Amino acid sequence: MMQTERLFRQFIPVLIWVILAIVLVVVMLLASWVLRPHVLQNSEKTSTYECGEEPIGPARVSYPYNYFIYTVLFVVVDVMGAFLWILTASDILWVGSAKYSVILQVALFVLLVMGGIWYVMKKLPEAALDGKETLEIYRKAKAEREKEQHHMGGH
Amino acid sequence: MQYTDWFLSIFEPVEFLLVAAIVLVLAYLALEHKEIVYAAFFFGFMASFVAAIFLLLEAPFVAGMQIAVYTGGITALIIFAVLLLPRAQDSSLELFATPRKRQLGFLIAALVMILSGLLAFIFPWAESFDDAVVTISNNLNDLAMWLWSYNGVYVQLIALIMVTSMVGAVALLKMDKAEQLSEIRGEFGIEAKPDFEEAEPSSNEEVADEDSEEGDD
Repeated sequence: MMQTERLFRQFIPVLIWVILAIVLVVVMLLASWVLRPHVLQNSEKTSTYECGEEPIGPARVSYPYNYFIYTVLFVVVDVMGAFLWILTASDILWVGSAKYSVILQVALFVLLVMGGIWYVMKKLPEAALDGKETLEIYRKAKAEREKEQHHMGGH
Repeated sequence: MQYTDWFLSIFEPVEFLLVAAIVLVLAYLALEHKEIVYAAFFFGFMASFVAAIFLLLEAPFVAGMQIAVYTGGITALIIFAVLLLPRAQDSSLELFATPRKRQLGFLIAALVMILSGLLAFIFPWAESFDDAVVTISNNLNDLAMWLWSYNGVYVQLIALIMVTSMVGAVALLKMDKAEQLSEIRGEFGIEAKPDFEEAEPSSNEEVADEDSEEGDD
């Protein structure tokens, strides 16, 4: 049941790295606490600085929906990277009889995903509100309204 | 020698208990923290400790996937969702209506936990999986072969699903735009009394552009 070489133990360097990262953060916080002057804190001192203006409302506001597309792009590239990562951890691309079919599969996979990204980048300007279109609609509505008023004025 | 054996036998359960306890604490914090951005970060930490459990199970690829997709992707998705939806920052959404409902929620959660724990105990893990599959999952080279060569069609299907999600996102944005695109009404819109004649589009387009965008908000 008990294996002598466990995979988890190969990751002990990673564990040491994590501990070092935590120690670094703690040391930096402690050092800044030791070095900084400890003056009286009040609401005026701790308030958010907004160019001398009184802050109004919370800092977290709703972002435009257009940024949603960047999240989708990020997740897609993330998953693609995860699938390609296993290729770097193995030698199937250059060893064995199946290497050509694997290369074809990888090329098709990357082409499909990159095609999707290309489509998104092409359509992205059309998906955002454009001032020119708004202006066009405004002019049309204005002209219609003026025509209507002119019509009414005629009676 | 005997001492080393005892240490090795105790090492793995201790590892598991430690990682499991950290996962449970982080999961509780991810659910119950008042600041939703902090909760999202706790979710990310929890996902990376779940990757440690996969490492304990000798499944390096699943651990890597867990870190790439959950710690990286899903956490970023949640943080973006919080940025996009101001309503998601409203912590009153998480409050239970009455203490009774809260107790009921805890009861159901405990029941689900006990049931899944019992199932994990009585499930015949050792006999349920083919030895060949177990070997593949432990070896990155075999796993890469299994995934890209024998089951390459499914990888292409995943690529197609991702393309679908991208096209769907563009379609959603276009629908949202079509809803927002309308003529400006009111004081600064088409009802405004013109003080001057609107200039020809070619000469004064940029100024008019700015005006119309301001009015849109």
